[in-house]
Amino acid sequence: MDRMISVFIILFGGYWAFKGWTEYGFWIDKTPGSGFLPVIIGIATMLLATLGLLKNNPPVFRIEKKNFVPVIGALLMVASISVFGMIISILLFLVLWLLIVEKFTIKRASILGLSTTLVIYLIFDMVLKVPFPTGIIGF
Amino acid sequence: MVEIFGMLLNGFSTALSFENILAAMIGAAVGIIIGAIPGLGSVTGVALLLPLTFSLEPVTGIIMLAGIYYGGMYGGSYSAILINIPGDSPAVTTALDGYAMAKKGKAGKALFAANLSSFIGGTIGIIILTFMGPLLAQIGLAFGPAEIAVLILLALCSVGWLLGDSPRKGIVTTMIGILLATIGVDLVSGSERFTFGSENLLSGLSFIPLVIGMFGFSQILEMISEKIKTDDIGDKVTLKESLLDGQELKSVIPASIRSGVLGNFVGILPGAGATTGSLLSYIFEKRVGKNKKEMGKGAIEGVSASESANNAAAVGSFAPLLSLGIPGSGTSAVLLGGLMMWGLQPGPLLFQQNPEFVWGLISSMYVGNLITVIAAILIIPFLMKIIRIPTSIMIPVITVICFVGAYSFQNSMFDVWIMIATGIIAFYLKSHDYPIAPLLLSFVLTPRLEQAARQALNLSDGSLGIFASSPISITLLLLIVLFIMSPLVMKLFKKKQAVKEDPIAS
Amino acid sequence: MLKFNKIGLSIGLACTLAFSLAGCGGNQTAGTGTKEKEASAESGYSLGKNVEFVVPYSAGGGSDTNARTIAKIIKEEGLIKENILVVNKEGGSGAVGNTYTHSKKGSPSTISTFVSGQISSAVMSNAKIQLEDLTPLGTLALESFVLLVDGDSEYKTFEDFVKAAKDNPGKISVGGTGLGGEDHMVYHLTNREASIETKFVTFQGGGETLSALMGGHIDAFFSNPSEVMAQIEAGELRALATASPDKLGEPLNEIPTFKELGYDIEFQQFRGIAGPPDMPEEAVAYWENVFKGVSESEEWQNNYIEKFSLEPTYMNAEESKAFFEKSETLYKELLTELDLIK
Repeated sequence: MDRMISVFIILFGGYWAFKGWTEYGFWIDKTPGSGFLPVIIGIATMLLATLGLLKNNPPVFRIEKKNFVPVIGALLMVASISVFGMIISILLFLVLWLLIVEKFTIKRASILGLSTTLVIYLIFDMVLKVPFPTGIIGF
Repeated sequence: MVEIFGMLLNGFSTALSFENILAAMIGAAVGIIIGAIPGLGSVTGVALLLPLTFSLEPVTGIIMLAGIYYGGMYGGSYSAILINIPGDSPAVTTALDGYAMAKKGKAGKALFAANLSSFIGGTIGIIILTFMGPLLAQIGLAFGPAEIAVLILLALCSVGWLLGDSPRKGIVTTMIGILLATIGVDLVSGSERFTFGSENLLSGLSFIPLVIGMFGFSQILEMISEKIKTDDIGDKVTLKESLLDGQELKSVIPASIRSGVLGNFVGILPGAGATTGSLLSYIFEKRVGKNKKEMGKGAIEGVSASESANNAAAVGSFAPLLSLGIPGSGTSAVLLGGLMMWGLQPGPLLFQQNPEFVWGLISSMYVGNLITVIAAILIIPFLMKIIRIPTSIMIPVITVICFVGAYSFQNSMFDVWIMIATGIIAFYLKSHDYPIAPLLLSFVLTPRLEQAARQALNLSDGSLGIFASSPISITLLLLIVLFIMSPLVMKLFKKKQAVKEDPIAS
Repeated sequence: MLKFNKIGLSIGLACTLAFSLAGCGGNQTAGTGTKEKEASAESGYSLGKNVEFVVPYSAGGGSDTNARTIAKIIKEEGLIKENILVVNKEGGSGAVGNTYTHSKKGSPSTISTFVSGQISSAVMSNAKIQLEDLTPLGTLALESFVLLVDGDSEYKTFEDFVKAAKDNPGKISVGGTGLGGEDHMVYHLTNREASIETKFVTFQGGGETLSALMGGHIDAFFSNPSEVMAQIEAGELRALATASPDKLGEPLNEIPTFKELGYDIEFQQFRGIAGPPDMPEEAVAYWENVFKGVSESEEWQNNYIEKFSLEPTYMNAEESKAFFEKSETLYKELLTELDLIK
């Protein structure tokens, strides 16, 4: 994995340097162009990341499948926002998470979910007037 | 000098009126709350309450807005310490040690140190503003593009060494931050860079979704396997126990004073900003402080240095605003807009034409800072309750906060996507000991650096000599060399010492 | 259960905070409701929603001050009953704000400040959103540009400046806030009409350009008079000439116009308002009425136009459309010469 990360960083730096050199211009009329910084730093990044290929260090902490449960939750929430709007999605996310992942009782999960959602609704929607996306229910 | 005291005393009679104290209190409370919410900073707070203040007397209005400004600086540290999401960019360095302290069960002490240092930094800033504000603002003008570029380069050069065990990885993340910062329309040439055809990227990636993703969301992914037993820690923590003992005060106060002075000066410079201020102070403390080894792993001095500096810098930006009419930060730009709408022209004549206003404002800063620190300390016991919420509940709630915070910054779902994506990337990077803080700091500093450097080169017709053309920039260049060289020299020195000591030891 | 109580407590605390905040918000609406009835009596049309006033530039700048002043006057005069929320959508030289306004297609309650820079940058970058994609609603003021040097500068008059530029072509540096911005166009116009060659250095916003000039890092810059009045009055800056057709109001009435000096340089920035495409006709008429009210108010004349040395103007939606289109043509000409159109 350590090597994989280095490879990704090399590609990233390389892309920046390449675009900087070919498209944005490294040096124009006696002054640095838009590509100046991307080229220099991109190449330096590639070199330093290449040094990282020499060793394959073990991770500091292990990455397991369960680490990505929040990502799935977040993606489901994004999908849900387009249908139900922000507020309902937050409520659904909290209640379902507490029920499924943390195995809370329905009563505890819904009380917690409702109260947290209410606080967020009050602060962001009522007071700060953040225009949250609304869903089919119009809320 | 006597004149200043007289003016100040006059100012206090304005500042201490009932409605002005009330205005300072409301401003401080709103500032603390808004600053503590990830995604919202004092700019939002000031912009939000600006219309409300129009019905007030100018001096009352500006006192309230100034209250929000420094209240926000206090609040920004809370989310950094408690849930590792810095509320604003200067609080990134606060999170380094603050969250580490919270993990060790010393959240109360971290919060208390943050408040105390904010107060010290703020007060130092105000004292300097009172006596030398206009003078320093004038000196600040000597910092042109070349000097600013070298100053930020100094900060940037030391970022990589800031954290983690591998300097190489620190430098790599610093550079990733620089590269990410180049996304968006290039101000100097007006051309688009790395926007991949997306209009959302025209103005570049935003710091807020990035910091929420890389600190907050990646933290969530990590917490799933950690399942910290927060229930055990802090159950008995009271305000009393979060008070600092003599030993800790001895660490906090000198660190706060050093950083306050440095942070304030950086805050006065045109466009350098509070982030540069708190970063430079943090690094300075890591170089000269007594506890440098622990910095980044939960040292109380780390919290003090960055909090004191960012409050001092916030006050510092008032000097060019009041005496020259030049806004030094986003928030003071909003304040400038406010002042102009009250019919006040901030500028060289403001001190002469509206002395009651200026001195009322400055005096109110003393009062407001005191009110803010009292309010902030009283909030600690309540904040401590957040720490005691079990991880099982914290995880979904913080996820929601990440969502709402990233969205509210610009009301954009695109930012939510950025938050999720950068969170996953940061999670992988962290799993292999790549430090994230340097990435965010360089991301914040790069646009200024690039612009200033290119302005300087434009002025000098491409000659690099401009970066060493003034005493200021030469001094700063020497500091950079010193900063980069000093770890090497130290290593050599230590080796020699180790050789010397070895025979004695054996 | 014990744990649960603590959570309840912290949530309770958050609620209290939220309510105290809501209290502040409440004052805001209470203070503005005084003339509500008058407003709805004036016009039968009602927006029904809070107004979002988009500012495509950062807080504290010219457009921001403009928007906040207008919002304040609308409230004080009770011209509309809904709340107005000023939102800054800065970035992409106005493109981000334009795109945002455009995305509110058909909305009667979204308006945006619309200045020359939004047209020129759209032209320049070939942006998706052009003038024709938005609905012009009105023009409230014209603002000119003055050429500034430091108070201690050796250039006492524009002639000194021109002479120095001719002696050292390409050496004199003029600061500006972005390529293709109004200040860049008037810079180009000046170079062209005075047959001189100078160097253009871009900064982030007027504040930084001002610092650079006062610190002696650049030689000159073009600014709206409003942003530098205090410094001119204090003698920290000197205005060499103004690009307005007539002399500016007090206290800047001493500054000669370029025309008087014999140069055909006339350049004015407009401050207008635009809405999203397909804004309902009643809404356009409604807003025309509101902005007419603003431009006629004493507050606007005294505390904006006069204070910032602007030229008072009122153009309705149709006149504004024609005026904006004329400006677009001029900008295309200047920007083509500057080789800035992609």
